[in-house]
Amino acid sequence: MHDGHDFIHEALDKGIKNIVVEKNPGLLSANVNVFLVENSLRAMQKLAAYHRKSFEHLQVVGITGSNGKTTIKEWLYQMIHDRQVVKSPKSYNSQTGVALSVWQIKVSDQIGIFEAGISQPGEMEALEKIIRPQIGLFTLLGDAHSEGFNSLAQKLEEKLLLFAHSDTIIYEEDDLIVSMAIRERYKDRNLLSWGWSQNSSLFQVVEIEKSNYQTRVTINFKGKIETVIVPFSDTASLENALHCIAILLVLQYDFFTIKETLFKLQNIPMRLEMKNGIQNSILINDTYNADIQSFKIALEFLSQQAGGKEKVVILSDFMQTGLKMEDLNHQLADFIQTHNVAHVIGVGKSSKNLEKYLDPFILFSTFDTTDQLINALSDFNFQQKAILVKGARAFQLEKVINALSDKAHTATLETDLQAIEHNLKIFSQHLQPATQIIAVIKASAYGSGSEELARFLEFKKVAYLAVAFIDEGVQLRKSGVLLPIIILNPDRNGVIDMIKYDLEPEVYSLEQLEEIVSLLINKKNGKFNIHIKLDTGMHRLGFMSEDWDHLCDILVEHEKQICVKSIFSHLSSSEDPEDDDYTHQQAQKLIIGYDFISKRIKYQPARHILNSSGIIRFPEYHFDLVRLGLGLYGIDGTGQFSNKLEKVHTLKATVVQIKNIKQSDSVGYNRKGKPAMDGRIAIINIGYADGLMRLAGNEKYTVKINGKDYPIIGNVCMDLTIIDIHQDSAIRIGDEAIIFGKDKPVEKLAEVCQTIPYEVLSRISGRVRRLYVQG
Amino acid sequence: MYTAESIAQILGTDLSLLSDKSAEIRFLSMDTRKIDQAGATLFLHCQEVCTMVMISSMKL
Repeated sequence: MHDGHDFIHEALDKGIKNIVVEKNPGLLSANVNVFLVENSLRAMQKLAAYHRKSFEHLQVVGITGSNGKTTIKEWLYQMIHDRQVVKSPKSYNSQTGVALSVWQIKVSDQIGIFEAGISQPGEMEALEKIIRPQIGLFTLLGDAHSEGFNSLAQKLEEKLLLFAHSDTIIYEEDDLIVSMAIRERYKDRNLLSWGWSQNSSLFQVVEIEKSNYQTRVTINFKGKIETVIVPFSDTASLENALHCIAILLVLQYDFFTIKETLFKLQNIPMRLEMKNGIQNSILINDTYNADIQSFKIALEFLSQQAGGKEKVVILSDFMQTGLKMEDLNHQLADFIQTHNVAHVIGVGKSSKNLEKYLDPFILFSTFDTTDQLINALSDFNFQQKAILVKGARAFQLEKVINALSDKAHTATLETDLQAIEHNLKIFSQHLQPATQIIAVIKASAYGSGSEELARFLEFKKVAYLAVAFIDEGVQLRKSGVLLPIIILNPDRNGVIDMIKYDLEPEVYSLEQLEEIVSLLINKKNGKFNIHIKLDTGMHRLGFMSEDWDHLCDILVEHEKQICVKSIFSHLSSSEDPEDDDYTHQQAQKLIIGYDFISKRIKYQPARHILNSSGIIRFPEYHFDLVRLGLGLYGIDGTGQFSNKLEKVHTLKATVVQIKNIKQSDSVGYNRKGKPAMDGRIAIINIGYADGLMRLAGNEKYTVKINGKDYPIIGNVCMDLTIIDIHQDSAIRIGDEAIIFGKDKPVEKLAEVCQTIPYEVLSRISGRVRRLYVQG
Repeated sequence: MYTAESIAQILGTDLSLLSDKSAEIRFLSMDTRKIDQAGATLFLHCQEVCTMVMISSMKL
């Protein structure tokens, strides 16, 4: 446990120029503004409340209740496309989290959605002052975080303080304790409720019809019967979805929009981490909590990432779910069976009971304690398995993760899937309503590894994937990806494979098209989908205008065998304003070429020309499809979206040795490294064979260790790099060295290496371990 | 846009101005989750020149 004041000098070392303190810090070594306050948390809340007050126009929804706050908030964010939404990050609903959330509000935001959570009396008043919601939503009243209150009634009273100044309050009518309390306390407000009860003032639920994966809900809204499909079938998700409908109705969305967006709702992944395990297995780490909803989400992530691998679930006892043991086990068994899990390993005394509820063909093992399981791990075969480890914190299942992790001592490229989802959403919001996305994951998804990302993007419902080579497409198909896949640079010898694996080539020349046509005899069923590329000025691959006539002759002649799915082109300078006239000319050429070809073939394929930079700069050319590549990974060539996008990649190495050196020593090959003074060096396990380019050497670039930047000394070697850590004695063997990441932009490394971020990312070699994290 | 001066006014607090008082303050950081990890990762956005951090004496 620490006092924040102990770290003031560390903050100053990192360039902080403003500090808010509760105690006089004394003499400081740097120029810094010092704000002396009584309580810095209250000061931050005061600032956040002031900030919120500056945005009176903003429509703010405040969500509280015992469960579902984060899911409802994230679902609303998924469902609102036409207005700019600012929301709490992750589950930022505490005294600190709410202030940090509200501080994000910008002038361009139109709707704010913030969650508020409390654990003791007196807390909600502070949160209400910061959020000031005009629309309040109460999810439900449960046992979570009850220990700080005398009674459930006291907790409810405290939570309801969030609505002290709200005009509209939304709640579930059937939750009698809540609805009565709200009616009593806030009788002068616009109270809107939903539920089975006829007293429900906003809408009444008339019928619920559940199937395995979805629920059909019939609703009576102002005397009109409406039916919506919720893409979940568990009770908690259904209640969350109905709360979302209520909010959207209050925000004046029509039922058509609500139905459309509701059906596309996706689970909210929380704190899931995927890494390589022993025996070529993959490991999903969700060892933070054990409740039904998060177990369901984790299982879905397991299924999404397992590909063809057999699924294993290691789970601890579930505690404090409020369910009877029998009901709990029924639900767990149901989920496990739905996801075709082959082997369940239980930890804890209650987990033994689960076996009775599972189908007999599911292998079941059980251990009383985590340590007993760890001792027995070597008895199991985890070869090529996909393993989910899920459990309550008390069981410390992270020890199991540690035991099952691949210990290969290599550098790691971490990919934040939640950041990719965020970037996807930012670009989606910018698109014309009918425009769909082709996610470009060529060059191993710019270094991230294609299969995992493809599965994730498929899960996120992009329209197409695009890869560079046939082999990449085949690999994705073999790993179970079903989305249409465009091959941007098809090898001429690979047509048979493309037919076999249902891959769709970019076709750019008459010779290539004739060759494809000659081989289509091998295609037994249906048409072969292709994408016609026109050269509009890039002068790389693509049909020139003099070829269009002949091209159409072939397409018309073989119309029963070939289907043109899209006609597209490639801009040469989409990010460069100086070449905008040329870009417009290219777009016009595509329009002319598209009209010419579509008239001849007598149907309208999709049309596309924009990459990430083009999407941002030329909304008039969004057409039917856009190709999103680097933007997805948080890299913006235009500078216009930089503040909105999140960085996705973190490249890390590990300190493997530390040495003392003298100023007179030399370091590395050819003695290029000359220390400025006596000090220490740290050797990290990444080199140019991993993708860290040699141009970064000789103090041109720094890496971050324990939050501080240190220069590379001497040349970058093939497998190792040497860092000058000066006289820093705090660095230890095993510490992480960040090459680039969220706080150390890849663009900087690209600049030092005289290249572009594309090249830096695509050079990261296959031997660098890939780790995927969510949130 | 917030500056050191405007923030002092909002907080109604004593302020020792030693750095640029008119530079924009955009980022606010108080990361209570990481304070017990040897302190090294306490400050999240420290590269931003005008980041403001809230130092608390609460035993977090």
